[in-house]
Amino acid sequence: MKRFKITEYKKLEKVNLYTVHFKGDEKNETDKFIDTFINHPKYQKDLQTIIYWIYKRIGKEGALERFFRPEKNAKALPIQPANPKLRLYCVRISDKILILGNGGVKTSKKVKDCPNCFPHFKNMNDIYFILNNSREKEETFVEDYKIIGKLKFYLKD
Amino acid sequence: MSQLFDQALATVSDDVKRFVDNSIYVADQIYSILKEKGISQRKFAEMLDKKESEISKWLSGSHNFTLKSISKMEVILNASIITTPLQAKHKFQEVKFVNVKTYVKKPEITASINNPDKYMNESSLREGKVKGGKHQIFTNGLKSA
Repeated sequence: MKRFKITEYKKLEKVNLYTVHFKGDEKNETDKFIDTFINHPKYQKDLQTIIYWIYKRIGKEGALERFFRPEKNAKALPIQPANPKLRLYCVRISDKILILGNGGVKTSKKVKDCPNCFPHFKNMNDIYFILNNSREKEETFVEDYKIIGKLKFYLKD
Repeated sequence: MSQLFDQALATVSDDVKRFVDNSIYVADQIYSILKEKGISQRKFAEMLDKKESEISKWLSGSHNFTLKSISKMEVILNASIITTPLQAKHKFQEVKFVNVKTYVKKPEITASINNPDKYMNESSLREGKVKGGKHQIFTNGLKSA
């Protein structure tokens, strides 16, 4: 069982970014993603594109539905620079709230066949389901730019 | 709050910024034409023989458009998607005069005959704030009493 909490990550002009932090991990999931690719010889520019796109598109206009690629219930940032293989998974809560997760380099056509991406894809889809349940039970609430109430959960192994 | 995000943002190169900015400009221009012409994303996908999810990806502002695909869209939409600064210069040089109509609400001005320099509004007259002397409401410029 993996315990995690949803924590605030970065407030931009029109969106509040959250991330996922697993208990016992030094870094949250999004920092792990950035850390992996920030100096990567092949994917450094792809990471820069994702980061700048988040800042410019989402940050200035909000997490609008049309900006994301549907990945079951979670979303993937649909960046397509020179090499469109780097994926960052997220859960869109509203125009004002986006939860960023982790991601990786997609190596197969179907995400379920990709060992780099599938664990993150699955985590974010599970987190979407868990949060939705918690909101239905009225334990977790969304208020404008904030997620309030219950923010600690666990994922089954 | 993340410092790593800020750190990564600070390292973004100018060419990456320009790529994302241009991609957003083109996507927003297409989105605007579709809205103006009342064409849905689904209909647009049919017109281009593409999947709707593909069009959705294009309009997110993160697609690496080719000149070929832009040209195809321009023909199908019968509209210009990109205009170079040189084209813009030629196009807008042809426009010599532009008629501009500005509508300004005409103010109602009142003045006291005894003190024509003192302007006041009509309500203050009705409320009897100005006593004595002859009052005349003036509109459309000064008139003699």
